[in-house]
Amino acid sequence: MSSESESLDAELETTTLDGEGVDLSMVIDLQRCTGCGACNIGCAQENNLQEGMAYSSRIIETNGEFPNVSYEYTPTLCNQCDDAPCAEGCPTSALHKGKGGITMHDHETCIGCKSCMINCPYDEIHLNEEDPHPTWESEEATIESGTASARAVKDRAGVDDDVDAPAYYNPNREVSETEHPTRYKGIVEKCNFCVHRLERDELPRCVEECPCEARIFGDRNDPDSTVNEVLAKYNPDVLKADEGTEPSVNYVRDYNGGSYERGTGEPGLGD
Amino acid sequence: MSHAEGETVVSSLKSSGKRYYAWLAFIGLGFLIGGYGVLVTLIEGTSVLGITGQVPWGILISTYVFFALLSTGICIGITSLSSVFGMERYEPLVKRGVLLSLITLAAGGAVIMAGLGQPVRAIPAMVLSPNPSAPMWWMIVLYSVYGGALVAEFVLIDRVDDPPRRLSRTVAVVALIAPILAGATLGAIFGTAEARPYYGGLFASVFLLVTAVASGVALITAVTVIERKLSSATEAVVSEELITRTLGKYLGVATAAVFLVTGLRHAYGLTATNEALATAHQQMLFGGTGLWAVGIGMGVGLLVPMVLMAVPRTRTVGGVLAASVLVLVGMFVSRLEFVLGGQVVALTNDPSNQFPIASYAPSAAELAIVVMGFALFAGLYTAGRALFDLDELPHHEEDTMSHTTHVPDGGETDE
Ligand code: SF4
Ligand code: SF4
Repeated sequence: MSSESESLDAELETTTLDGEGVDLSMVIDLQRCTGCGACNIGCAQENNLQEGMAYSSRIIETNGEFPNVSYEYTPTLCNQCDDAPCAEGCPTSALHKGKGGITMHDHETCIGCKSCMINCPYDEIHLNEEDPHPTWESEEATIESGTASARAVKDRAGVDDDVDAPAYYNPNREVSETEHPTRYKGIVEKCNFCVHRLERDELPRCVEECPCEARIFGDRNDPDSTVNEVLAKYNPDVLKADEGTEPSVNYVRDYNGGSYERGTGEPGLGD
Repeated sequence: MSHAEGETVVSSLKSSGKRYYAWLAFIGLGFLIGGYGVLVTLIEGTSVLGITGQVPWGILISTYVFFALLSTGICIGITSLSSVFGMERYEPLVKRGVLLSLITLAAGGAVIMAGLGQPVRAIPAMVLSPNPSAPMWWMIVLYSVYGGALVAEFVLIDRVDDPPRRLSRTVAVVALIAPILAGATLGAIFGTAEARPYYGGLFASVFLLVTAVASGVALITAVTVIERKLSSATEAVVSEELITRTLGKYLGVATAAVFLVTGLRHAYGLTATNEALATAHQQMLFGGTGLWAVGIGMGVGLLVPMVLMAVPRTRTVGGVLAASVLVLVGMFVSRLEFVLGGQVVALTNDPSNQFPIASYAPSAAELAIVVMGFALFAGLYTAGRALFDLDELPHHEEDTMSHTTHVPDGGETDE
């Protein structure tokens, strides 16, 4: 672990998650990000995400025509908006502002009305259209009489269906009251800065996973936090600022940064 | 009064011809198809629906909006004119109107429940974990109050011989204010979605309420005209004048109003500087959806009925029936156009999503649930007309006129 992530870890240890005025934020340094996608893979592993579901994702923009093209890669996740329209419009308060300013989701009160998906301007809410890991019920073997079916593996492992631990049980997510070790159909889900890890003073998995240390995480209300240092140093930006959602995820050092005038390949003004 | 004293359901069934049984079989088939849709969604999950992460609201939501606003529109546009504002010419429509409002509300409720991811916990979660900042929560509360007021209004007309005028009026006023507020909050669900400018912000509530009245007038008109053909009792209380002058003209004006607000909405959208808004309108009007959104939603559903009602020669009983049915078909389609329009432009260029346009096509399960909504509507109305005398006039303390002697004057001030 590098000294920078060690210092983020140390900061987290001194931050009380449900302490008053704690405002957890992430800054993504676009010049450090190489677009490797390790964050997305780490997130999927951490949260047992099935194929097609990504709490951590990316926006890709290409402009111009060859040979004058630009390619921008922007990692995305739930912005944990301070003024979160998803929570505002949730009829059952399943989505709500929780500790550390995180937009939390309570699986048990979500009715699957999907109005949060309509209200989030960033497409950051995902619906579990079916049980996330239906393959664990499959009786089909890849090679007949050669390999075991998923169901057979589950049975052999002695996993009891109707109690706590189906095969895709993830004990990591059990730490917090607001997360579930198993995920089920008919409700929505989203990133919550890996609150189960934060409870154990661990950084969100995407932050830990990033090989370029492009993700900086900490308390925005702590004047000495690295997050504040970075935000003060650069000119931060948020996605869709005009939506007025006050995102807690900021971006610094836009990769294109005006180095070239779009479409011309010529050095732009200010270089 | 209900039919219980004279005619029972059984006897009404016995006296009915083959066509009636065919109608019942048709409804039964609708329930079978609908039952399949509901069950398969419950068992498999919403993966059997055509909705996606980018288009999470599809035909089930639009069908709910269609039914809920039919209910709203009948109450605001027809029944309250008599029960609150004392316009006697609408009296023959009140009892049938209240029943229609109730059952359209029920049909809408059933359709939206079937499309929820967790329908079983919906009501308890709304009660135990309410969110008063959410328009959806208020809409449920207001439509529940409205449903209660409709039941009370119906009971007062059907069961109580001389209901105290004050009580009747209070109930009628609640049954007017609650649906206005409920319809407005339904609009606010869409309007507050700032990420989706197609819904029109504050304008969404106004737009939906105006269209609600047109669709409500169309439904009660269509049902009343058909009933007049089927039953001499209805023919006795509902004069041809009421149909062709009052309701026909009312429908024409309401349709014109919808045409105007729809036109304004699209004109504003197409010329908007907000690129996402302009693209959404272009896509809905000139993309693949244009054929039905413009062709049926605006042409067949608004223009044709408007012309039919504007020309005196076509404002006959048959013409009014045709116009009201066309308005209903158009409105059903327009609800889908409205709901989808807000989602057609992709929000982000995430490579795992469709970009720039997000598509949607209803699945078999979704269509089956829609069929369930219509079967429920038809089934409940058929049961209602067998159980109750829907031609009964609302009566009150001072005015206990019997409907058999009362011949309403339809629209004498209209021409
Ligand atoms: S990004 Fe979307 S899901 Fe996350 S808090 Fe903001 S509105 Fe809610
Ligand atoms: S789907 Fe769940 S979290 Fe989203 S608004 Fe509905 S109840 Fe709330």
